[in-house]
Amino acid sequence: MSDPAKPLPVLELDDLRVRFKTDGGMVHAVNGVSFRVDEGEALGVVGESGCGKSVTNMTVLRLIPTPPGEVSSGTIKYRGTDLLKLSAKEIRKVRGGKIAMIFQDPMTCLNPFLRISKQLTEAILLHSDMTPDEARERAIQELERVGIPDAAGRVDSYPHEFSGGMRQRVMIAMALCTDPDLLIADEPTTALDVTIQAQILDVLRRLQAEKGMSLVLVTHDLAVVAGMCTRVVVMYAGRIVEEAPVDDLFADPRHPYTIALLGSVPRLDDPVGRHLTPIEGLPPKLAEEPTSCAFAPRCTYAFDRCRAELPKLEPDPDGRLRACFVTFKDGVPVEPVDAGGAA
Amino acid sequence: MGRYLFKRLVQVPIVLLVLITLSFFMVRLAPGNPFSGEKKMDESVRQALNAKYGLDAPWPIQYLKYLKGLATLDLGPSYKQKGLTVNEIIAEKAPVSAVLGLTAMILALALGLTAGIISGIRQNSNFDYGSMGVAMIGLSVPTFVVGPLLALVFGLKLGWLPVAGYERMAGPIPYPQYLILPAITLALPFAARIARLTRAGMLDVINQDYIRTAWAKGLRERVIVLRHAMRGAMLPVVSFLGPAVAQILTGSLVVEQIFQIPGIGYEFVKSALNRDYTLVLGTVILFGVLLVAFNLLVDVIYGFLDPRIRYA
Repeated sequence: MSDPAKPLPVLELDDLRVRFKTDGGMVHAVNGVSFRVDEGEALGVVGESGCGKSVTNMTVLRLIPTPPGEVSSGTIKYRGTDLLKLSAKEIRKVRGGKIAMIFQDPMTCLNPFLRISKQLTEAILLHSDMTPDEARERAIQELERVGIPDAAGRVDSYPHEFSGGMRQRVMIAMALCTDPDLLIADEPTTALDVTIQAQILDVLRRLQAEKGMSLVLVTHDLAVVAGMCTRVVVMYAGRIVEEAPVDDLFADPRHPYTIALLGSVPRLDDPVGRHLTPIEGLPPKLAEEPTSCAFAPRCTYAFDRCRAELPKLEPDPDGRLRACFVTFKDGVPVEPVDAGGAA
Repeated sequence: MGRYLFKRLVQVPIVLLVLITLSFFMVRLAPGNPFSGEKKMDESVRQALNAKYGLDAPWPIQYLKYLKGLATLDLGPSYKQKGLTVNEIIAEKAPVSAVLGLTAMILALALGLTAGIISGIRQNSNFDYGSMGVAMIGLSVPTFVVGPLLALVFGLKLGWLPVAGYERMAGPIPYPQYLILPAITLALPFAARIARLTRAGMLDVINQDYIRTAWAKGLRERVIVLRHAMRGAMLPVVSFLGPAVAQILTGSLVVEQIFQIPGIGYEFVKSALNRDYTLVLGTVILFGVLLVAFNLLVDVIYGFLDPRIRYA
């Protein structure tokens, strides 16, 4: 699968499938996702709620409760090692140590019963040989780096003594205090207001550059991706529908879902009076693995083949990946490729 | 914290005074009096007795006299147990109930917490179903069924333990074999409550975002449960323990009756039936003091468990 000429990616997912057994039957949350994250790269994972982006990334650290969750196929390779095959003890070394994760809601993600110092140092002590005093020193340094004023004086505070933005800074400090080389940030700014969002993204961007770590940024917010990432994968119904360098994606979206997503967000350079275009309909329930294009029912350009066949994620002539039977140029369909040949 | 504690401590005598006043008049409002029993008694003897204990005085006078005695911690003479004061009866019987209650509470905590924690983190496992089934039995089968059953099986049939009785080893402490069956009987419903509360608390906490964060750090499950989940899961249990400890320490009429244990629980019910006014009041006050004390203790413990609670 991997090209020997290219250096080993930090993270490489191949054909990952995750499903959940619920009271209402099976839910196929992730249906064959493959992507890679290169050394020092920031990858954006975009999609609306329920598209499987969080489940995909939680599965990387095996944080999906099993049961009801189950990885039915695929591999998740961290520097060549399949994380899905590791023992419980081995995966614990990766969690927090090699791959760290921050989550959406900083108000609920820190333990309200424990001091910040305890929550930071327990991670440091777990993944290093430091003494408790050194770990505490390290925790204070890390809090300073994420911009907590008077870190030395506040390290023994409890989470409720911090504001939402400050708590997300603490979360970041907690994730980074073990020097992981991959950070998975799952909607890190969604629960915060806009000015705080910008500050948090600044911190993330700066620390990613300083530490030279790789970043997976999971979000539904295209603006966040535009400012942070070099490459983007767009997910829909548990599958990747398009993957592109970030500038290309915004300039020349080639999947109807991406086009629709971009049409539904306001832009500063919009002409006055442009109406936002919502995407009609709802994402599918995923009781079955999709066998045709999952977006077809909501797609303006869908034709017979889309409803009969599942488009694969395949490269265009210039190498960009997308999963659609229709060809687009500058966001406008050019021709249904193979439109007749499918039947 | 100090300020809060002071405010709460000031409330204590007020609460107790209300309790004493209500009990004082209620017990006198009940028909009959200590000397109106079934035994035929000469009218002059009855009057002499009433006069001796001041029961011929108007209630307000009796009330003030009683309060005056209380001020010096004197609970008065028992009207029915000749020659004994209420202080003497409580000093004699309450420690026995306390020994039994303490044993039962330790047993209930050990059983309830263990079962509750494991059931909570292994929801819907066989252990969960099994222990919650037992807890349901513990809650719904009354002690007057469990007690005689245990005595029947382990006392009569197997002969492993004494059927009843209370042979003292030192002070109120009996030889252990006399404590086992009554302690189990008394502990069972409490263990069941504690197990269910712990399980519910654990389930609530274990699905919180901060537990996921703890997993993402690479911590072991044992550390996650003990360090990250326990405190939050314990809060409902601690609330329950306040009144429960007061209750269990002051003894149980049923258990003390079944196993013939000379505790205060039995005395309390007997005194109520006998209209032994002072003994009723004495035991009510004892229970009231313990209840207030343990509830106060629970509030203080809450502050240590949950840093978000600020006392004002």
